[in-house]
This record gives sequence, C-alpha cells and structure tokens, in this order.
Amino acid sequence: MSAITILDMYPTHLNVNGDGGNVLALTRRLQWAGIASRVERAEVGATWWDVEPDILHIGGGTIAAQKAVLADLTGARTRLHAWAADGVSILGVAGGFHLLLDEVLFPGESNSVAGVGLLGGRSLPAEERISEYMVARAGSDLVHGYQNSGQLVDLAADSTPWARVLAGVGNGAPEGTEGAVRGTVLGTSLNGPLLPRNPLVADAILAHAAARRGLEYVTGPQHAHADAVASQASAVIRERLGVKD
Amino acid sequence: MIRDYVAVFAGRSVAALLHVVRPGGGTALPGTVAHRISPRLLARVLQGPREGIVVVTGSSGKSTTTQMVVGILRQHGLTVFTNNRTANITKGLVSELLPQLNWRNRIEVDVAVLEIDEGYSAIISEMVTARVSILLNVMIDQLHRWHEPERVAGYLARTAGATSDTVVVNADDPHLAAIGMATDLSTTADATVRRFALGSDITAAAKRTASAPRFSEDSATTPRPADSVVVSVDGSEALISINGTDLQVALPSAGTHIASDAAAAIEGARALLGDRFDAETTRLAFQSMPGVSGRNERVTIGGHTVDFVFTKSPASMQLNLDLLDDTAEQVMLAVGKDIYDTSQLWLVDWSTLPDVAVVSGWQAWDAALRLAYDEVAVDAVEPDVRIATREFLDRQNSSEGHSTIIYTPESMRVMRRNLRLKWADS
Repeated sequence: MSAITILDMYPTHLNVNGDGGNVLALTRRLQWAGIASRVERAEVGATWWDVEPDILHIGGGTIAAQKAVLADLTGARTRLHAWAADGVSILGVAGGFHLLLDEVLFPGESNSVAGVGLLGGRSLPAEERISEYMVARAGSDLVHGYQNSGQLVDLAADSTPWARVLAGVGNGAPEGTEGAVRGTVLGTSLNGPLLPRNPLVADAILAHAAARRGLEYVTGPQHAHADAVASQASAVIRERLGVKD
Repeated sequence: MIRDYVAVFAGRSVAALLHVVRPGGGTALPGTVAHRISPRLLARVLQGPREGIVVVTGSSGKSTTTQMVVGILRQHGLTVFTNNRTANITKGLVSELLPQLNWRNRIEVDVAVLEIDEGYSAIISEMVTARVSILLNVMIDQLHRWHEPERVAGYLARTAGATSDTVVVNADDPHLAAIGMATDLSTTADATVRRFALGSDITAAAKRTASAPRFSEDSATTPRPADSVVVSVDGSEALISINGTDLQVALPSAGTHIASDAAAAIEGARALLGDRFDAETTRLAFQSMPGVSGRNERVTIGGHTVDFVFTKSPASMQLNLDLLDDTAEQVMLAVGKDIYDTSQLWLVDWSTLPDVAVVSGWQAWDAALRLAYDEVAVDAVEPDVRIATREFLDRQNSSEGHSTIIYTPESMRVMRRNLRLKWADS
C-alpha cells in the first residue's frame, strides 16, 4: 500500500501563521487512522512538480513572501490545473488562497499579476488591515479561525463561495462570503491551523484522498480525543464573538 | 517652557492622587496627562543626559539587553537613567520620568538607556535622536498587532535612520543585516554600524533560527564581519570575542539567546564609551548582574521547587522548550490573551514536552488542541489561572520532584499576583 502524499508548498515562505499545522493535522489524522503518509516540501527552484501528490497544501505568507514564490508557482500552472482535474485535493490558506485566484494586485502595486487561476476571482489590497477571529457556516457546519490579512478577495460571479460569514470579515466581496471552492480546490482566509481547528474539513479532504487511492479513512478514539478539544476551543471562540449555534 | 511645568505638575498630581486611591498600582495615566498637555516634554526631558540616549529595541531580549547595557555603563562609573520594561511606550515612559525630573524638568544623569517597544522605537528615536540604537532582532511575533514581520523591520529601519552616532545590529538577523548594510551605504545617514553575531560553531549546532526570514526582491546582503562574536556558551558562561580579544562573561541566565544579548550590550556600551571601554570592568559588570525577576527563575513554594519559564513569541517559546530541564516531572502550561491569535502556537514544536498536568489561561483550549496534535498527554484543562495554579501546586506539594510552569506575560501577572510572588514590575 503506497502512502498518501501531501505536497506542502513553500513551507519556508508560506508558514507565517503556523499554517504547517494543517499538514501536521493531515499526517496525524492519517496516522491515527492507520494510513501511511509522507510529506514532500516544495521549495522555490526545486523540481516539485515531479511529485504525484494526493493533497496539495499552500499556506500563508507575508506580501514579500507571496511575491517571492509567485513566479515559481504560476510557472507550474498547467501541472496544477491537471492535478485539480485529476481530483487532487488542493487547499489554499490565507496568502496561499490569494495565489490560487485568477489575478493578484499586491498592496502598494499599481498592476495586477496573474495567479494560478484555480479559483475565480481577484486579490485586492484591503483598505484597512483585517486582524480578527471569524466564524462562518460552510454547508451545515460551523467553521472558525483567525483572519490576518492586508488583502481582500473579490470573487468572480461564477465562483462558489465556501462559507457564509457569521462573525468577522471573510472575502470582502461579495460581502458576507468566505473562501471559494471549485471541485477539490478549496481556498479560505482562515489562516494558520484551519484543519486542526475544524476537523470536519480535514476529514472531508482525507476521506476523498483515501477513496481516490481505494482506501477507507476511518476515525478512531485518538481523533475523538483531539476533536473534543477542538470542539471546546471552537465553543470558546463562538461565545467570545457572540455566535449562536 | 511654561507648558512643560504645567504638564509635569498635572502628571505628578495625578500620580499622587492615584497613589492614595490605588497604592502600589503602576499606571501610565500620569504620563498620558502630561504628554497630552505638552507633547514635546519627552523630547526636552531627554536632552538632559550629557552623553545622550541609548535605545534598545527589537522583538525579543530588550529587557535583558537593556539591563546589561546599564550594568556595563554603571560599572564604568557613568550615572544612568533606565526605564522599567512595562514603561516602554511613550506615555509609560513619561509616567516613569515624572518623579525623577529636577527643577528644570531635566534628568541629571550621564546617559539614558531606554528599552523601547519595537512599534514605538521609530517615533521615540525620531523625537529624541538616539545617539546609539541597538537593534536586536525581527521575529514572527504578535502578528495580530504587527501583521507582518516586515512592518517591524520598517520601524527598526526608521530607528536606525534617526540614530546620530552608532547603529548596533544583529548580523545573524536577515532584516537587520539588511538595515546595517543600508546604513553603511546611505549617503544621508550619519551613523556608523557595529555588528554582533553568534559564532559559526553555535549557528551550525542550532536547531532553528529565531529571526523571521527575509524575502525581499532586492539583492541579497553581503555578510559583513561582526565586531563582537559569541564564540561559545556553556550554561550561563559565554566566551565573546570583541574584535579578536576574548572576554569570558557570566550571563544572568543560560542560553545562546542571552549570550547574543550580551554581545549586543557590549557593542552598545563600546559605541558609547569609546576609548573608556574596559574589558575587565565589563566582566565585573556581568558578574554582578541580577537575573530578570519574574521571568525564568526557580522558586520554592511550600517546600516544593517550581521553575517558572517565561515565554512570549513563538521563537522564545521554542528556545525555552528546547532548553527545558528534562528532570521536570510536573508541567503546567498557561497561555494568556497575549497570544491573541493562537495560530502562532503552531509555529512551535511541543513534542519534547513531558505529560502536562494542566493547561490553563485565556487560550487554554487552543493550547490543549496544539498539544493534542504533538501527542503530548494533557491531564486537565482549566482556563482559570488562579484555580489551575492552586490545584497544580496542591498536587505537587504531596509529591517528590520539581515542577515547571510555562507561562505567557498575561498569565504570569495573574499567577504571580495570586501567589504573592515578588513581581519585577511593581
């Protein structure tokens, strides 16, 4: 049985908010489910597109870090689109989400640059820095986390938002929307450890990746323990933000 | 200036009133009042010191380095004004200066050594013109406040630009190495640059670097040789090479980051003292330096030994966890409101922790979640620091071995007040 492969994009550049916590959550939950996994780290200039990933994670970074990886990332645009078409789960978090959009206008610049184009929309400078907790509803599930961003998202008209904001900011446009989803590609402004905070999101990604390999992902007592803690943490944030279940 | 006299009188009156209403309570209110009446008061007060102002700033190590610079200068016979670390922004600094002003509203000392918050160092340095600035590091720290490390680097660059004589930079820090080089190349900056660094043996052995990486589009900086280099660290003894001359110093506590602060302090003191700098006098100064109370220290409570480990930024958390005494048998972790976005906890590797008896603080559940994914066993989660501390210590008193309490600043304040422990800031 081959291991499930997670490709972590530019962890040196895109881990400013502890986004690596998502990769840890994926590997731990696979380990707890008795499924082998391996993590490949993609760095700028390396031949990372040779990896055949099941899951691709692209975290958040400062504006300078996003600019530093952009050319390397968009240079592999064809490969990234092929992976998405092939059902590879792609998760873009904070700055990583912005790089997956059609175009990016970085703060302080006057011209937009092309993004990867896996999600429809534009990244724009925010008028005021956003730095606050967010609670949103994705389908029937509540998701939460922290948004710390100088950039906003203007979703394309034909894009599907991932969630509806209950407290906090989210994309910016259309107002009240959060993130974007297209097939197995998910982008969100919830920075850092989105997946350990929201284990349902992690499990949806893992179940899909496992099924694609003919494996069954089944959670057990170790997941239940961590998820009970996550549920308490989530309740604390909802209470602080005054969000009712 | 009449306005200054009014401001000082009003500030002192507020302080006297507060002393009656809330004895022992430190506050920035007198400074706020005085600063509002006379915004230029601080600048004029700080024209007083005959040998000028030394500003110490950066993400981490400010208090330790400030204390070291003060110690070295005093040992050389200078009179020094320094601020308490809780008074490191404008209004707090004014509050602290108020009681010390003479009839001309000046402080009568040779030099003022000021620890300044990294967000205020630019404003204050521009206001008072620092003669020497010591720039320690730019870390991924308090991003809910700074958003990006690059912004802190921008403040420190302005601080360097507002320094008249010498900018002391950490040559190991990518952002500060760049600021050092920019200052060297600048045609407008008056200041010269001094550098401190860890030696190659130490950096090769280090598991991680504490400074934030730099991803600028401009060309990489050419490394410049450092003036003071930490050659080796053995516990709380460090060997520092000062332009090739070795000096063995006793550190106030163990760790390569403390040795790095010592090298920074030595370069800052050398910049100010010039030919008066004496290696033996400096060695003596380090010998008599106290530890920073309330931070990393060992305390006996009810006959039981408790190590307090103070931690703030992800980088300092990691340093402290890596240094943790492996004889620690009982561990309590308290993460307060100051880790506002708990995402930062995921930048740290917690897997070396033994079982944790209790996780506490405003962010207790998020901290417990972090530990769950490093498979660190947690016995209990109790967000109320007072209850958690009492239960933890009660449990310890009936057992052998010693305990470790890891806390962030906010949890530290609650806990120490509750335990009636000596508190460095009051």
